[in-house]
Order: sequence, then structure tokens, then C-alpha cells
Amino acid sequence: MSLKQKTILLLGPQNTGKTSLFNHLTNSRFQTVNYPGSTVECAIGSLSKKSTESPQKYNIQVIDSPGITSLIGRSEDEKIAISCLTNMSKINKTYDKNPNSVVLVLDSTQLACQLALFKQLIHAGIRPIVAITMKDVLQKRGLSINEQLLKKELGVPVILINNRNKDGIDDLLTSVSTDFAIPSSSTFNMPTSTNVSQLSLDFKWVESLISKIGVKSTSSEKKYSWDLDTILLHPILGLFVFGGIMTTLFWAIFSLATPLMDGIDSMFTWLITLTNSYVPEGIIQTILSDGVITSIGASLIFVPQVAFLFFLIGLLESSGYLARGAALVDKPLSKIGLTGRSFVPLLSGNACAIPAMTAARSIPNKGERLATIFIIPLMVCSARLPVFGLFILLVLSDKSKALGGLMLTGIYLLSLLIAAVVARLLTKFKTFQDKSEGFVMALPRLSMPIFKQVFIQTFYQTKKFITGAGPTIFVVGMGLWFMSSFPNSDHSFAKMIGQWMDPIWAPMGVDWQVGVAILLSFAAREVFVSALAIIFAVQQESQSGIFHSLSQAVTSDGAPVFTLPVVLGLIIFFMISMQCLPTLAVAKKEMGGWKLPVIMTISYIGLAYVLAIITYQVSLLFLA
Amino acid sequence: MSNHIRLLSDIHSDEQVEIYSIEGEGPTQHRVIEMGCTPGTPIRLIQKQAFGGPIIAMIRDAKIAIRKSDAQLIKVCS
Repeated sequence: MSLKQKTILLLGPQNTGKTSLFNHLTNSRFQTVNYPGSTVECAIGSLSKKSTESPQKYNIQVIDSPGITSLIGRSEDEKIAISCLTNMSKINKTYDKNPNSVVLVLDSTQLACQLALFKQLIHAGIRPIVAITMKDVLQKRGLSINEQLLKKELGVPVILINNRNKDGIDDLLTSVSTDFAIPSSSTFNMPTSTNVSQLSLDFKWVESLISKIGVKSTSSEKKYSWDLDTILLHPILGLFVFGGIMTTLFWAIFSLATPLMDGIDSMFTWLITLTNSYVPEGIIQTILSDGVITSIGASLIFVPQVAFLFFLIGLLESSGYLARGAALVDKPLSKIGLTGRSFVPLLSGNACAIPAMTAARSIPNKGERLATIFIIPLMVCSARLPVFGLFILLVLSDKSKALGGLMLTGIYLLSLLIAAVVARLLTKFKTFQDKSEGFVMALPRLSMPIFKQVFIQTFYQTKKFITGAGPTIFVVGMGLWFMSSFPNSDHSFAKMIGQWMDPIWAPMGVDWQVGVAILLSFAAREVFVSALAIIFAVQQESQSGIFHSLSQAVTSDGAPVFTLPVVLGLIIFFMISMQCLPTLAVAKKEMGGWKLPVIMTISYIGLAYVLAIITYQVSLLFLA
Repeated sequence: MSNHIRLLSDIHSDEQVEIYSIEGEGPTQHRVIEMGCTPGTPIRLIQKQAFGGPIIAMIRDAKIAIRKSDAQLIKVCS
């Protein structure tokens, strides 16, 4: 028997704990679906706990929506959250047109500004259930809300919730199930523009309500988080703390992820050895060990780094620091035509361009959003790291670890500089000039991150990264293996193509083998390292194995392949070049067509090529 | 209420003022109003960022960051 579908929409401002509540309701089991006609995702999950009032009567779906400030949507994110109210059936045809229950999630410590949203819903003819989160924070401050009085004043169910211990979730479910008894309402009267005088009245109403129900933070009370801000947002100290946090973030990614990456590496080396000893020698063995296992290994090796970056960014977000970071970098970003809102997407770009481009949806100005997406591929993403790591090793051999770190820092700074120059150039074009909305941002309350929630979020983001980019890397790896093994390894297809393309790579001082590896890295740049390994017939898969073989690699006339000028040119090339098919696909979706992504790809590859040649030729003059 | 009307971008740190009006119409102005900056509301400037960066203000128990040029749209009185 199929149960009747019922939907619960979670709606509310940013940072009110909607997603935590969503995870409690669905037991953290959900899927993300694209809202039709857009790239914005809504998380949908089945209600895991059944209310005692209506056991198994319905098949209940909970939908989490992006944060909103009002019922007028300006950013892509906000627009979708609002259309969920009136067009739920667009997500899934079996849903009713409107959500069967709307839960407005508000932060108990911010009711003075957030309750106006409740009034806007009422004006639109929507009767939400009001879930008030952060009950624990309110209690800590020695404050309380008169729940009964608030319920009476609002005329809708009001439930206080503590997301840290699930307090109040059962009450919420009971209220929701009574909502289901009411037949889905007719059309809502959604506002089309901001009604300033109405909003002023709404806020007046909130003020009087707040004084009645008793939540009023007294100014004499010094709160922990407000105090911390005097340092975090201090004009000078704040910048130092920001620099410290960013440095720690990237240091932690490298140092914490490296042992895990080595572990994955040795696991796959072990798998290859195992395959080679159990599978009889021949074509099946080479397909398995050199093709399948090497390719899967190459696509999984970056997972720890990406997961760590997701996790640490998640911690910063959950603590409320990211919004402060955005405020701190707004000024420098304003010099290149962006605002602080570009900060989070650009920061995520240091893990992976794909989620970073998705994060840009929260930017209300279209021009700024497009410019941010345009420069995201210039960030040092986790796929570039192993490539740079290899180059640094090749240049420095074992001279000094500190020097290597310095070089990597230099690469990061140079990448930021190039991105800044590009963003600055983009401001000359009309497409990127829409700057209608300035920089106004709510700073969420600082709090201890909820680790469990951050873990869940990291898990889903990492899973998406694996399923998104993994297959491409795998397919390319298999293709490469085929090309370099047939018709035979001495006269392979790869060699033929490489030698045919030699005139292209010659000005960069690059040998044909490296040329083939570059060519293949256009599918996904992390392929470069494993491609070199396969082409130079490196048996060991470990970094040191690759390094030793490569540092001794010689061209057909016996000259070393990786001289300092060559490597410097390659670093510049990989810093700028757009070499990631999944990113291109996402850019097409996010930029609404092929035009901009194609311009972006061609100009980055062209620029990378020209600058790499210049770097090589100039350093030849000085270093050779 | 005195007649001394200034811009939000010009007040000092830790100064408590009242919003007098929001100048003009546009997405920035609407966002500011939606966040609770309606005329008559007390607003306190908490911090100014270095090098002319955004100002941090407290309104209706919430902290907001506003770019200096956007804060010039908000007229306040003491």
C-alpha cells in the first residue's frame, strides 16, 4: 500500500540551525536534488521518527531550504527557498503544490529581527509552525521565553528546540502531524517587492511582542561571543587572527592529510603486488594492476585532503567565523570588483572548484557571482597540490623542507595575485558589472561548532566529490593505460601523439613524455602525476618512487628532462591552465551556458601556455 | 531627538544612535531594512575595520557588517 505523500518545508534565516534540525528529523539520511530549472539544491529526506499521533499514516518528506532574509529572493539560493513555498510539486510530482507544513526556524537569541519574517509569512497567507532553536544558549544567558504567551500572540504552534540534545523534536512532530490534517491551502499571496512601510510596521509589532514575552538581552550583560569579537573583528588584531587561522587551516590540511594519503598509496601498491602475484602474467594482469587499480588509486588519493578542507571549513562555518572572515576581506575584494560574499566560494576553491562554484549561489549580484566563478579555477585546488608537490621535490631534491614550504606559499600567493588581476580585468566587461547590491551581512552568533553536524556535512560533500570527479579520473587513467600499452609499449599510441605534438611543447622545453602527461591532465589535472608514472614506466606508485625515477629521467639524447627552467615553466602552466572536465561541466551549469566557460577555458589555457614559455625562456637565460 | 543628522559611516565606535532614514531605493536599501534597520531603531557601532573596511554594528540584538559606502545610505541621529 502506498502511503500518501506529505511534505514539511524548513524555512528560515541563515545560521538558525535549520540543517541541524533537518538532520535530527531525517536521521541524517537524505539526498540532494536540483530544484528544476536551477542548479540550487534542496536536501530531501524521509522523516525518520514517526509521531505517536499519526503512526505510519503518511510518507513524510522533509525539505531543507537555503537561508532567507525576507520573502523577496535576490540570490539564486533565496529565490529557490521561496519558490519551495509555492511550487513544491515542481521538485516531485507526487508532492502537493504547497508544502503540507511549513516550519519557520528562528534563533531564540535573534528573535528581535527574525520574527518579522513570521509576519511576512502571515501576510502571504502562510501559517507556519515556529521552531525556536538555540534554547540552550538562551538558558545559558539566564533568559527564557514565555512559550505559552508567544503561542497565543502568534496564533500558531511554537516549539522551543535544543539542537544539541534534540529537546523539543517530539513536540515539533506532534504539531506537524496536526498540520497534515488541514487540507493543503489554496494559493499564497507572495510579495513581489519589498514593502518598506509594511516592514516598518512589522518590526514595530515585533518590538512590542518581544517586550511582552520577555526575551530582552540586557546591555549590561557581557556575553562570551560578543567579547571574542572585539579581538576577531579588531581592526588590527582581527587581521592577524585571520592570517593565523588561514595559515593553520592550510598547514593542517597538508600535515593531517599526508599520512592518510600515504596510507591509501601503500594500500594500492599492496593491491597491485597482490594482483601481480595471484593473477597469471598477461593482458588481464596488466589491465587490473596498471589500468584499473592504478586509476582508482589515483582518483582516491586526494580524498583525505578534500575531506579535511571540507571539515575545517565546516568547523569555521559552524562556529560563525566564516561570516567574520567575509567582513574582514571585503575591503581588499572591493578593489577587484567583488565583495566579502565571494570569500567562502574562493576559500572552498582551495579544496575543489566544483563545490566552490556551487557555493557562489549565495552571491546576490549576478555579475559578481559570474566573476567569482570565473576566477575559482585559479585557486590552488587539491588536485594541483600533488603536481606542485612533485615539481618542488624535483627542483629542490632533498635540500630543505622549509624551502619547499616557502615555495608552496609563493605558489599560493602568486595564484591569488593572478586571480586578482583577472578579476580586475573582468570589471571592464559588462557581464560582470552588475553590482546593484552592496555588502550588508548578518554576523551569526559565535558558538562551539556542533561536531556531529560538521562530520555529516563533510561526509556528504566528500561523497559528492568522489562520485563527481572520480569516474573521470578513472576513465582517463584507463584510456592512458591503453594508449601507452598499445600497439606495444615501445611504439605506443601515446608516443605517436606525443611526438606529433612535440612542436607545441618544445618552446616550454618539455619532452614528449611530459607533453603527453600534460595533454592527459586536461581531463583532470591530478592525472598528471600518475600519467608521468605510467609513461616513464615507474613501477612503484609511491611519491618517492616516482620522484627518484623522474629526477633521473633523460630525453632520447640523454639530457635530463626536469631541469629547473622546465619545472618553473610547468609550475606556471599548472597554476593557470584550466584542466578539469568536471569543473567545466559545473561552470556551464552555474554560468547558464557554454559561452563564458569556453572563454574562460581558452583564455586560461592560452595564458598558461604563453606565461610558461616566457618563464622557461627567461629562466634559461639566467639559470642555464 | 536632536536634529543632528549624520551618516552611519561617520559615527564613532561604541556610539549609540537611532536610525533616521534610509536614503534611496534599491536592493541594498531593501536588504538593510529587511534586516531590521527601520527608522527609529537604535543602532550601535561596535567596530570599524582598518583601511576603510566594513563597519560592524549592532541592531535588534543582531550584529551586522556593512561596507562603508553602503553605510552612507543610512542616516542616523543621536
